[in-house]
Amino acid sequence: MMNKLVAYDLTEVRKKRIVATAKDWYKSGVLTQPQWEEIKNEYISTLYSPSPIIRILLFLAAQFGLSTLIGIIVLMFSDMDMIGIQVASFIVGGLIVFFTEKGFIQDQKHYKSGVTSAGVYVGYSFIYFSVLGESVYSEFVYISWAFVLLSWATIRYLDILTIIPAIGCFVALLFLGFEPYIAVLPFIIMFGFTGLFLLSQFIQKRADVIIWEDHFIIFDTVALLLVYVGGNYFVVRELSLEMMGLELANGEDIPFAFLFYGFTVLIPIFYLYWGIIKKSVLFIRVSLLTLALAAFTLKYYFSLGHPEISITISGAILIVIAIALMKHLKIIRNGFTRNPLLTNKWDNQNMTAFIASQTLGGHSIKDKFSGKGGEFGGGGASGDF
Amino acid sequence: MSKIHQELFEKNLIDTKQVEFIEAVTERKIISVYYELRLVLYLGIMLFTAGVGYIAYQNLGDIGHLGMMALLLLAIGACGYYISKKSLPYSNEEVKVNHIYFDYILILTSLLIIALFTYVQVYFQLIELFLNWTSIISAIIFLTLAYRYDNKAVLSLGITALAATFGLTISPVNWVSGDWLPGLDLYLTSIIFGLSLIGLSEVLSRKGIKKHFTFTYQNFGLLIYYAGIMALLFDFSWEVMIAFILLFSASAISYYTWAKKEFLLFLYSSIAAYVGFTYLLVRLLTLGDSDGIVLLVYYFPISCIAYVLLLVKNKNHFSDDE
Repeated sequence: MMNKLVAYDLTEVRKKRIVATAKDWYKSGVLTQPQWEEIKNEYISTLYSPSPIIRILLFLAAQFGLSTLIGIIVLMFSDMDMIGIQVASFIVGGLIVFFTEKGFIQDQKHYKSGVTSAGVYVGYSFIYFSVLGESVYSEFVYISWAFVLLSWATIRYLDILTIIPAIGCFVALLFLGFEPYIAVLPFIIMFGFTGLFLLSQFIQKRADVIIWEDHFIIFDTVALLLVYVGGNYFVVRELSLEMMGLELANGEDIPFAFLFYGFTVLIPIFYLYWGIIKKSVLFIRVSLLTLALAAFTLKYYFSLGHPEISITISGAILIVIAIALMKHLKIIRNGFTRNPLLTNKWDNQNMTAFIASQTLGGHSIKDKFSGKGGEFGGGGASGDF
Repeated sequence: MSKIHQELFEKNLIDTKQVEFIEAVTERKIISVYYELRLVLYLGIMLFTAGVGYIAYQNLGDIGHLGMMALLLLAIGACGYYISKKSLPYSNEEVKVNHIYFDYILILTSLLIIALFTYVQVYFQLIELFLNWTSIISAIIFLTLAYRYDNKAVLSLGITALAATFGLTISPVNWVSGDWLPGLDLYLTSIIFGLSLIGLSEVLSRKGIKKHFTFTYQNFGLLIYYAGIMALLFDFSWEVMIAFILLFSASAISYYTWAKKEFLLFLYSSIAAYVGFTYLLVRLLTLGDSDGIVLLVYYFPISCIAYVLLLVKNKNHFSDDE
């Protein structure tokens, strides 16, 4: 069934994924050069995907070229009424999807080449518009239809970028659906995504998901984050004020405030604990992120009034923790090591350099001290003097 | 659970030891926190140096400045000691120190030196005196450290500080939010600065000095050059001539980078060339009272799709990669 559902030839995709995984192993020094060559030859795939930058270039050009087709449609069918334009854009969208699938995916064997993503995005955008037109349905209809198409793109084209918007639509639908019972919404989101997370774990244990590996990582991460955000005090408080029109006098607090304070602090700690116990990188990573969010939340409501001191001290603490752990994990302890094991996909020096230059200051000149921007050692502060 | 390693093992493509190791990793018997620790360290450095810099500005006139400066000096000394102990001698080639946080300590030290430098200036009221010098001095400090200890991140900081010396903000992040200070001088400065960076990188690379830095220079150089010339194009009176210069320079660089397989630079250059060409075309189509502008409706899709097909036709030129 999957083979029919997915536009790509799954056997070939699988080969590509195996080679990609083996490449990581080879680059991490686990495989020898001859082994790597042998694996590459064993799993030669007919699929074609260019290097990331070319992929971006192809995507940008195709996306721009295809979206501007709307101009031609408008010009050609400008005499028609709305229905006519809707029909025309349905046909154009359909044709774009058809050519993307037939021409690029099937004949030329493109696999996520940038052209394919652009074709899918633009084609389905035309279809999205053609079905709804500009007549005003309820928000529910627009979001549901977007959810359907985004999920479809995720499954049929193995698209990674559509997962998060799809989940976003799902959350928006929950908001709309539970509008009359808004008070229970935090719990619905927390329990709902806990359930979905467990389901995802279940599937990953049972099925061969190598093709979907990245999709599951993204889904799991977002699900864990949503479980946290659903119970975060800041989010609940601000949304209650916004959506229920709740007004709080001095000294008052939202209902069940203690519960949400608890969630804010305890969930990240639980994630970290669970990550360490179960040796799950996913939980550890999400816990780092949620710990930062917890710190911001607490800081927001209980500020000591000296942000510069808390920033400096927390920075110093983080440095000390990181260095201490690096020293401690020089050898493998309880299965933890500070050394990279199997992958270095994201380890790119040029990228690190660019990020450093953009975040660590040394470039700010937006004030009366124009021309002396390089003097200041911190991106966070450079806008403030 | 995907068991690629089992499959490869059954096909005799990997040996027992390897399969056991991979099994241990996928079954989470051992786990690496390499990236997590680096992230925490990086965040720590970012917060710490930002906080220290902030304190330097906030607490003018308070007591304890000398103590603060002494503390900074102490931190710099400690880091400097670590660096000098672990570092390898200078070489024109790439030097890799195999120590897990060497690079981070180096960045921290560079930033602390700059923070101390600022502090001293503010405290002793030297800002007026140093007004035009701080950026260049920061740039010199960064660049010296970058070359001595072979670090691209510090090199990037040095280049941005150098750009600030000439009044340029090298920050695509700020450009997007509209913080790009306008002015003809600035455009010309950025064009000359961008070209100088590219020229400098060529000279250094030919002399064999830190060849692996070339990309960083070229990346900044091209971005600054294109940003400057495009700003000039839309904000100055000799548009046609500027558009021609843009078109020719960007086409030439596209051609060159394509041949050299520098695809990121090729990406910038093709976009810049397209902007130049489109600009000239629009001017041509609007000559007199012509209605030719309507043709643009066809021009955009056709040109882009043709470009995509052209690239795809030459797909053997760029590597196939997952």
